Amino acid sequence: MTKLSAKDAIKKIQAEYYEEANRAHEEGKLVAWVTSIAPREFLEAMDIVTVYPENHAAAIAAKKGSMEMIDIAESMGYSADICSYARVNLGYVEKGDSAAGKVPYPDLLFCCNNICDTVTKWYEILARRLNVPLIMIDLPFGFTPQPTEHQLEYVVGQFENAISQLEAICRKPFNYSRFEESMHLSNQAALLWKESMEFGKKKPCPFNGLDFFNYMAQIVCSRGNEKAVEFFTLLRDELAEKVARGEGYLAEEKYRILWDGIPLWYNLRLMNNTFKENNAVMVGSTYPDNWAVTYDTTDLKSMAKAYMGNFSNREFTFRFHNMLRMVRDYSIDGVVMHCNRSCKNQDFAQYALAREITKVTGVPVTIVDGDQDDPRAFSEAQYVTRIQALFETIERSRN
Amino acid sequence: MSRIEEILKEMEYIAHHPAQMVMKWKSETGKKAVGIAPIHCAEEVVHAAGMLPVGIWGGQTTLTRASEYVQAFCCSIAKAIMELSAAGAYKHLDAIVFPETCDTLRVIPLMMRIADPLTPVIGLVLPDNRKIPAGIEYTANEYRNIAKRLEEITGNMVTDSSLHASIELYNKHHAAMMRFFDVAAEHADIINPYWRHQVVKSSFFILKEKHLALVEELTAELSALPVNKGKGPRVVVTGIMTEPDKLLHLLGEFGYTIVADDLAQSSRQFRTHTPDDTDPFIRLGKRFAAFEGCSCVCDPDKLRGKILIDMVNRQQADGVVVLILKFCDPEEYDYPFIKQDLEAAGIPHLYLEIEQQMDSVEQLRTRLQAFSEMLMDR
Amino acid sequence: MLTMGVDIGSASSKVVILKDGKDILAGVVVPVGTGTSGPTRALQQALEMAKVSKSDISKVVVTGYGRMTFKEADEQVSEITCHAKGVHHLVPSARTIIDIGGQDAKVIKLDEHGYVTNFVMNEKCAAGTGRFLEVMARVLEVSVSDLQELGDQAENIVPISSTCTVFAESEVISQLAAGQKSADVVAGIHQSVARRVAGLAGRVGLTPDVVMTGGVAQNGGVVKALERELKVPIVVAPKSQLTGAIGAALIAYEKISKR
Repeated sequence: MTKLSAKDAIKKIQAEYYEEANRAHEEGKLVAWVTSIAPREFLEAMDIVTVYPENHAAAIAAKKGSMEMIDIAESMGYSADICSYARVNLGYVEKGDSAAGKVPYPDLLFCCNNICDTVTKWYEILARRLNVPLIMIDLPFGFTPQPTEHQLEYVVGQFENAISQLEAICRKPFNYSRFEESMHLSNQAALLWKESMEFGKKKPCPFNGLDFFNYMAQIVCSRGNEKAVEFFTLLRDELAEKVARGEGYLAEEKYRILWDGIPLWYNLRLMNNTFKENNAVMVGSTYPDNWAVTYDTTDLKSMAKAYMGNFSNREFTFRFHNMLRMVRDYSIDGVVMHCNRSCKNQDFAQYALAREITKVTGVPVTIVDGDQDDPRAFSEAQYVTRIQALFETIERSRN
Repeated sequence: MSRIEEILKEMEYIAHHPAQMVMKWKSETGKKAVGIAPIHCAEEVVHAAGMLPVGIWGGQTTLTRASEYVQAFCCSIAKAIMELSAAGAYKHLDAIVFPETCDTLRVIPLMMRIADPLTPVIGLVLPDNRKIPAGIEYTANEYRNIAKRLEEITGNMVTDSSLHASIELYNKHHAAMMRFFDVAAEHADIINPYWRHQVVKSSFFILKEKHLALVEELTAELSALPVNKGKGPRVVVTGIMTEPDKLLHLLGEFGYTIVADDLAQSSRQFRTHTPDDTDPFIRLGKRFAAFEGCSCVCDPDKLRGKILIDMVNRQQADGVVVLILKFCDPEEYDYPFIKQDLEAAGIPHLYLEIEQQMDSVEQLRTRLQAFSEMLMDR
Repeated sequence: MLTMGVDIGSASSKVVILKDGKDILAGVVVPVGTGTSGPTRALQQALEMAKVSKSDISKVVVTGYGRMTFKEADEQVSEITCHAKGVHHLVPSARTIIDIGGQDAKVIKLDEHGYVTNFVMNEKCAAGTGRFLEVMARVLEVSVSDLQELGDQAENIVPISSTCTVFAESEVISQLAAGQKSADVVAGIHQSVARRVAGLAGRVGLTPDVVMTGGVAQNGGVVKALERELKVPIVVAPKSQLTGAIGAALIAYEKISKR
């Protein structure tokens, strides 16, 4: 790869990724639609091309095309209350094209519910609508701080079952050596991703945290193959160099912000500008950390535990300590929580989290109403007002 | 008052006074009570430990404190549970078992632990892959874990034989409920939607053996009377619940008879028989594997539409009333395919959006009236 | 034989007197609804118009939001059933009715006899109803009846994306403040109502002929926008405000004839 900046590289790589996906059937490969934090190592092992409806839905919203899909889904009877990723994708299934281009229809579905229960319903619908097999990887929600032994056994039992299902669908034996390779590559990429994110602890912060929502695509789509390792090595090296030079994203860093949740995909420009104009930089977010999935590659229970460990699959104490740690380690001045209309799993803990964080750290928290993909749930005026109020609160506490 | 009226009145009282029933139990027996949150939880485990399982289904409460914890777009059952928890209404329960039912109900127990830290909340996570051997084993282990946690908290133990006995009792009770539903459908003049609900709701607040006796007696008394299929539309209802009371009265006002239901709060609790096995926990695993047709239980074959059609045909119902609880994601996801299946089968249905706490049922009135006119005109 | 249909809405009261289930002897609209003197006045005016007295009326059926509290009727029937019957009488080829009133929106499917086969109503929300247009008209400082003419002058459509009336209001204000022409904003408002209604209609499907009734049907701008969204021609029912009362009177006649 020529020495592109990470920002340019990700555009190129993602374009190639979608081109390849759209060629998959021509090349005789199978296509799977996959949830965002699924153990894709299993699919990589079988040379199955993985497509991510969530990622596609985000791209559609970024190209201002989400309402077109949502209108189709809602006229089929899907409530405006359900996740907008699901509505956009279900609309896409009918339309077959979008503002962000096409993705191939799947030969199988690979659903992992560590992110929420919504995906279970969404993928059930896809299985029936598209008449394709569904492989379900159920990662039990963590009411206890750590998963129990019997939960890990259940997950490993499902991994083994998934292997049989894949063998039946692909009509070939499971490629254990490629699987092992993929596990190594996955861990490598995850470590590089984590390292890259953690440069956000530096003062000045060498990156605009919002860019990570673009870089994220590779840790989602290619974690477990060589491409992700390549890209995140590039990113890590680029950021390491900037840190060595003491180069910050902003000339003057007034406010270091922690963002909780998914961004507003249809208005990244507003998010960027509101921060930049006020010399605020997003140095960290609870969201990217979900993909720092590392585990002992010789132990499937370790893999199970790692995939059960993301933020939204955990009880309150974990979520709280996770944010607390970030507030401390990243020298956070203020927290912005996105009350994402589509994500009840995250939202319903936010009020309590906001209270506790401010109580323990003194750092102010503001909650903005919006949605990841549905622009109707978002008010620009409210967003700007609340962010500005946060900055003003931070100023007052400094005087 | 006839014996039937006596029984129904007693059940109505129980259904409307859950807190009192718990206090009565505790003071009379000196034993403990454990809350069971919605939707799927084998309360046999609590029963086998010699404690009273108490259904937690929200309730008619004014929502003031809930908004400190959850946003407005939270379903009304979850909000009511949150409200009651924050108000200390669950303080008399020795523990609460909370199944991980959906995205909303997985966070509510986390908030309850903050709002009411003295009432232990034990999470129960039932599997999506419930039919594979690893899944059945897992369900059994989750319930073993519940039994263990309950022992730690209350001192009460579950033995294999006590759990077998409880399962047998619950199998009897569930069969009695399903039989009652069939008999009730033939006695529409006495069992209207409101009374039918009292029979169901009262089952959550007293010992199953007591409720079983009442249901069996009620069913026997009804069976002795002449068949009456009612003057209005005969329908199957589907959804989470038929509360509040206002909705039930409205159904009665337009002469609706509920001939069968697919409600989370009703037949989804009763319609699956627990199979045999030497290990009682495995029996619970097998039951969960055999269960079909709830929006909150993983169903890649989307059987719910077919189950509804079978119910309609079995009872020769005129149509289906789909009660969508506002902000209930799982039910909302299921609706389009249910609609498609019912339309393909030529079965008319009414889509009704409800909340557990509703100030005004005016909009429901028009829809229910129009639907009954539509069905009767056919 | 004379029958009477009374339709009491939130914003208006309508009365129709029908002879032998066929001829409309009187049709009255009074612009105040339930809880006012509207229903009584409309009844009086209708009797005067037909030159008959109440005792000449064989049966009275009442419908509409205010039907529960109207004492002078023999029976009350839902407005869904009455609208279907009434529209069928006026437009026998109607198979889909889109009714947008002041407070709600409904889509009704009917068969060749005027019987309802399916229906859907808007969920408690002002968006996509006459109320939405009232709020927007106020922001634009025009009357609701001016909206059609204003919309006709549009050169572009300024989309209003918010589904919530409150958010949409501030969106309209922002667009005007940003220099967008009122006419273009009105076109966007019409499109917003149309989209919302189209979404509702999609749930029961559209079978031609599609007929529109209710107060908002008077706004040609919304009708045209709806035609564009739904991609079907829409017939605005003549006497569109009276369809409920006509249907009620017809149903009164049918019920007597059956005996």
